[in-house]
Amino acid sequence: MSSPYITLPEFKYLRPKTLDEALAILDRYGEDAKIMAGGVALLSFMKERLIEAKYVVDIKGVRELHYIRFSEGDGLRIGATVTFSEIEDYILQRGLVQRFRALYQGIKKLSDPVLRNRSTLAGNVVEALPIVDGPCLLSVFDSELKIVSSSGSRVVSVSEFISDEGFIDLKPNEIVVEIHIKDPPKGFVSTFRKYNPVTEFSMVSVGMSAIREGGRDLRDVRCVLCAATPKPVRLRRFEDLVSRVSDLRSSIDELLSSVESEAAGFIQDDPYASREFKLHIAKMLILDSLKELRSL
Amino acid sequence: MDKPHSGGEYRYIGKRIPPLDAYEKVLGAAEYTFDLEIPGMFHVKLVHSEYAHARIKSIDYSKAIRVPGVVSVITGRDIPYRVGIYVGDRDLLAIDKVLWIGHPVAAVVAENLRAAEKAAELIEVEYDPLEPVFSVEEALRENAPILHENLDKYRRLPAFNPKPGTNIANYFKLVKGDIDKGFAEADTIVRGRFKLPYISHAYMEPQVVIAWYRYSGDIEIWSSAQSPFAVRSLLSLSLDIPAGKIKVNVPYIGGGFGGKAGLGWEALAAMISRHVGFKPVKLMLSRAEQFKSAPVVPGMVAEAEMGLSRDGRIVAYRAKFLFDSGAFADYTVNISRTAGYACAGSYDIPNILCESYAVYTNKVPTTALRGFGHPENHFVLEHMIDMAARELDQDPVKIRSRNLLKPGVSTTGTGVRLREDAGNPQLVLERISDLLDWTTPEVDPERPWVIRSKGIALSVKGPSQPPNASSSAIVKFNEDASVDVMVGTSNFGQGTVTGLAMMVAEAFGIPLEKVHVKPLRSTDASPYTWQTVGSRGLFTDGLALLEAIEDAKRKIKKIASQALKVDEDHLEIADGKVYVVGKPWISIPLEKIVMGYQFPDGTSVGGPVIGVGRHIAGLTTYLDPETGQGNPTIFYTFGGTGVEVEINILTGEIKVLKAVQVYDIGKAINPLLLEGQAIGGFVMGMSRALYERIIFDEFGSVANPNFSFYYVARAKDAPDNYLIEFVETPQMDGPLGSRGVGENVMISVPVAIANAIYRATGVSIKELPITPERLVKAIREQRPDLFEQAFKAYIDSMV
Amino acid sequence: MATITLKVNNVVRRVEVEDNEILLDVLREKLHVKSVKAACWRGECGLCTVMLNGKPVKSCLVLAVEADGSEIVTAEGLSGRPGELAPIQKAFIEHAALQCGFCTPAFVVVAHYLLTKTRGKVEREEVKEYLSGLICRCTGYKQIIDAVMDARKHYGGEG
Ligand SMILES: Cc1cc2nc3c(=O)[nH]c(=O)nc-3n(C[C@H](O)[C@H](O)[C@H](O)COP(=O)(O)OP(=O)(O)OC[C@H]3O[C@@H](n4cnc5c(N)ncnc54)[C@H](O)[C@@H]3O)c2cc1C
Ligand code: FES
Ligand code: FES
Repeated sequence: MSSPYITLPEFKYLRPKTLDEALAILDRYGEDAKIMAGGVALLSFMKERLIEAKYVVDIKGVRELHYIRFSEGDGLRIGATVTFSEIEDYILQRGLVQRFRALYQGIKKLSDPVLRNRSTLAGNVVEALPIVDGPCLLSVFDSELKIVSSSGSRVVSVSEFISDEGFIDLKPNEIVVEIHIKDPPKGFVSTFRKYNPVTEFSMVSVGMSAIREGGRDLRDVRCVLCAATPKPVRLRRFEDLVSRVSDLRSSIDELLSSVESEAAGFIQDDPYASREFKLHIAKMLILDSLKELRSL
Repeated sequence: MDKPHSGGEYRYIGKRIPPLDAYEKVLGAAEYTFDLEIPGMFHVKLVHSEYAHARIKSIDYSKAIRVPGVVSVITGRDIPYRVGIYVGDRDLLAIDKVLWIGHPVAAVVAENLRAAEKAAELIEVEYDPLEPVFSVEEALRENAPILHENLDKYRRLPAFNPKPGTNIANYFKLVKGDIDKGFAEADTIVRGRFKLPYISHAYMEPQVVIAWYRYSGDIEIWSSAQSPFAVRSLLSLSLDIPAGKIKVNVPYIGGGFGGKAGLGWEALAAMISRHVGFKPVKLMLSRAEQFKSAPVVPGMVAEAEMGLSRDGRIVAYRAKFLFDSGAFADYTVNISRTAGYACAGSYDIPNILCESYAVYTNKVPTTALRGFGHPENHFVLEHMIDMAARELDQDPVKIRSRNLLKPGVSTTGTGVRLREDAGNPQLVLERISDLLDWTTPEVDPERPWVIRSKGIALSVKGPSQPPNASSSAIVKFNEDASVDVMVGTSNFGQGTVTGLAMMVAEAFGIPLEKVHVKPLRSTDASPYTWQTVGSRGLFTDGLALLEAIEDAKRKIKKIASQALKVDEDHLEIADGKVYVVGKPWISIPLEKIVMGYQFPDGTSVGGPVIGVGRHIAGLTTYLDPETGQGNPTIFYTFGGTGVEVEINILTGEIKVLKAVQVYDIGKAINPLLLEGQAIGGFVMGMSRALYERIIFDEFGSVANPNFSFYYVARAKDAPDNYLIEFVETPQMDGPLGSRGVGENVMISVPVAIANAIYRATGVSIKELPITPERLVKAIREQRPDLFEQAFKAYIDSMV
Repeated sequence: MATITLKVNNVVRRVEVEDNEILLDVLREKLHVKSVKAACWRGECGLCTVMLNGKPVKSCLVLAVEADGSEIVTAEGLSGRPGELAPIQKAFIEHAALQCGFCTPAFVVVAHYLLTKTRGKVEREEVKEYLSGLICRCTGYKQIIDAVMDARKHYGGEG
């Protein structure tokens, strides 16, 4: 984050045309090869000398990875090279904003429109730093990553994929080929809140979803706390509690103390905000999200 | 200037005219130093210290020099010079000792930047760590490690007062009246301790210089520098080369804000050029280097005390400013001096004691920023006034009004009687409070946890320049009676150049398109001006230009008088012609005169017309070393800011809803561009108030040297609702009555925002930036009731 | 080393590049296209924005080799006719939406794209959001946003 370089170190650029070709390259070069999708993270980190690569494998030429599909019941399937802008446009044009509301809101607030013309959701999830939004957005939904290597393919959920701050379940010879966001059930509502008044990146963010069946009551609430935590954290006790409350006002204290007890352990001080403040903001964002979901 | 054409009204002056260079700029065709290349030039990459304070044991560049494309590696011992504008404390590359993390210790020169950067990574430096000091308080301690053991040997200007053997780079004291007596008379005393962080200028074009040391011993420089002449004179002084052998060129500048005044990297680049066999070299900083190695803006801590009578008169003011100048105090010594002498702002205070220090610490060196000590001393003063108003239960506008300096009557803090035509501070204040609609704070009925509040602050600023600072200008006619205007003032988009061109078009009654002001300034082709800083450009260079216009007019009339056989004083120039007064049907177009007049028989008189003008500060003086009394500045511009903000008590977010900017600029030469200054200055001030700070980690390293974590205001943060007004109380000796304003427009912004928060909540924030965390914490500490109430209201809204 | 072909502001250019060269640097240093600037080299300031195959991208985070065969447009080529201005550029001049001008080429490119894409039907808040990936340190943005709002009429919107 602090290196002064403007140019990139030397590497060899490879541009496979097929997935098989890409996988063969990874098999051959192992750790020395790094996949590039949008390159926004990869090239920044290489300029910072935080990532080294002897081979940069640009997968944008792999046609079979460039698709985005929606079907009723199955949900959204997004190929690895689809940019955020393309997802944004697709959701809007296909009238899916309400269905994938948190995702759409999150993308709209993710970096900026020009960068989103290059950066991909897959690259974002693989980057997996606490401050990026992709993993958080996917955690609001039931989503899975399809991962392929020359020896086969596997499907993992986002929470399994990210084990800890920046650590992911991905071998050097594997490629994330698809992100599958399952079609949410009837009555599903979702929202995403990002708090970043003093930096580009999120200081605290909260994704929340629930099922609403008439009235203001929510069930199957899912609440994900991000950015302030090393990885997206589901606040399960809070989810449980809030799905059961009948009188919100009398339960507020209980709800907030459950947030505190569950979240506090994950949140750290950093130069931009103290732990206490982030926790306070987390609570505010959670209340705000709750308020919004109840009013949708 | 008379209104020299038929209608009797100004044709250009006072009109909303777009900047003359806008066409080139919207096409991306304007050339900056950033864009320049010289065939065969080498690229330079700096290697930086990783220690805050250490002796250099060894520098091993054996691997670096073997990188293909690398031509040389240079270290501090190769070029052991000290440079600096006011105090020559700065080295070109660290000589034996590093003073901060980011201190350049070596320079790699290569055929391209990729090779240079690759090699820079391979340089190994061994250090012997010394104890560092990171805060002014630590640096002033009795046994603090000393950064500059040779402080007494550095070249410095007489106005500055370093304390060798300590870390004090400058000490300044302003004494007016009897401070003890003043406080003894006071009915109320308010006190405060203030803190401002290090910030970055964040101009967009990075610091960049091309230098070419030639075999002849001449040096040519192209630099993104505000002041080519200052660069030349400093190069000459520090490298001991006659000024006439140095040529400094400055094309368009991609922002400076004070950060490119004085000397940049020119001396280093010049010496590198010589070192690599008299070849041109280009040195450009990356953004991270802009935060870690280039001079940034000093932090400050201050303590102040204000004594008032019951009826709201300020009877005594004491302040102590400690500027954290970092490792070099090059320009910051003058910031500390200026903050000191101008500490009383727009107010008539009988008893003043202001002390100001610039203190060395093992952090990034610092330099000037727009406002130059004024955003700092006004942050203190203008907030203290609001504190006093609350203490005395008086209205902040009224208490200001009661204490304002009265032109022609009051004496300033430095003991000069404020001139009659210095402006109308009362009217400024009145206009701000009217435009702002000075009402009491109110809660947003829809969101009762959000408060809307208004705040105001005044400011006054004049250029802080040496008493003999001067300027010159030339108007040179071409065959088509178009005019080349030559001035020294640089162009970073502040509008000066357009204003000057308008003055010329107006004076000769020629179309603006016929006035040419080239973007390039160079010390051998442009007339001298001391510097383009301190809001002085239009004022001083404008005066020089008016004199040049008069000179050209005289010459034109002389030629025309021979041509028309009419006395010179019966001629006037307007509409691009020379007329006979009272007989406008007798005239000659300027085209026929400005290259000399030719009679029908072929004989000729006169010759090419060139007008020359100059300006020198004149009556400004050095300040008394004991009391700081004297006349420091050629004009004062009074003004101020009003803001309406929305404060979210629960999340600490602050949004500016409305901004009022009022300045008494004497004469608004181009309101369109002035508004641009007022808006740009507002947003810069807002950004400083709410977001900006350089964060140092425990080792003294900049933790956020990028725009992701050093956040500056973006389009989405910018307010839409501005009320901008220019009061026009003419300055008798200003160009067309005008005064400078480029810096003033941001001085009072941060404190106006702090005052708005204070007014709504009673919570006094004395530290910038006002981050949400700081605000929420302060509210919870000082007004728990308010927080609880807001929280309750929020819960109510949920159910 | 590879030879790549780019169409830059309607002119076909062939240039030799190393694999690790950045598009921004190749445009500026090798093709001498100076109407693209830079101020951070890591995606933050947006001043390196160019149109790459019809979309604005930050060229400091694009490899030159990947752009092989692409079409690139910068501020000087925005109108499609050399020396002529696109409507947004005229609006920038009228509104004095620039000071030092260093950010201006990027702002006009992005604003032109937004106005074209939305056929001028865009609200102030959207404009602000859209331009927030670019930094201007001088103007305070208002005149820039005003210029964009005003230029809408030339792109099919109401103005
Ligand atoms: C100024 C700035 C602001 C930003 N703001 C935000 C923000 O607000 N929110 C946010 O979430 N992010 C933000 N980002 C981060 C940015 O959004 C991510 O870096 C981007 O989404 C990464 O996507 P990409 O396609 O560019 O990934 P790349 O840079 O191409 O790749 C990222 C990493 O993933 C690997 N990778 C990529 N694709 C695959 C794949 N299919 N399979 C396996 N590995 C792969 C790469 O090897 C690399 O390690 C910001 C970045 C910048 C520069
Ligand atoms: S230089 Fe590319 S975004 Fe700043
Ligand atoms: S005009 Fe200077 S950065 Fe925008």
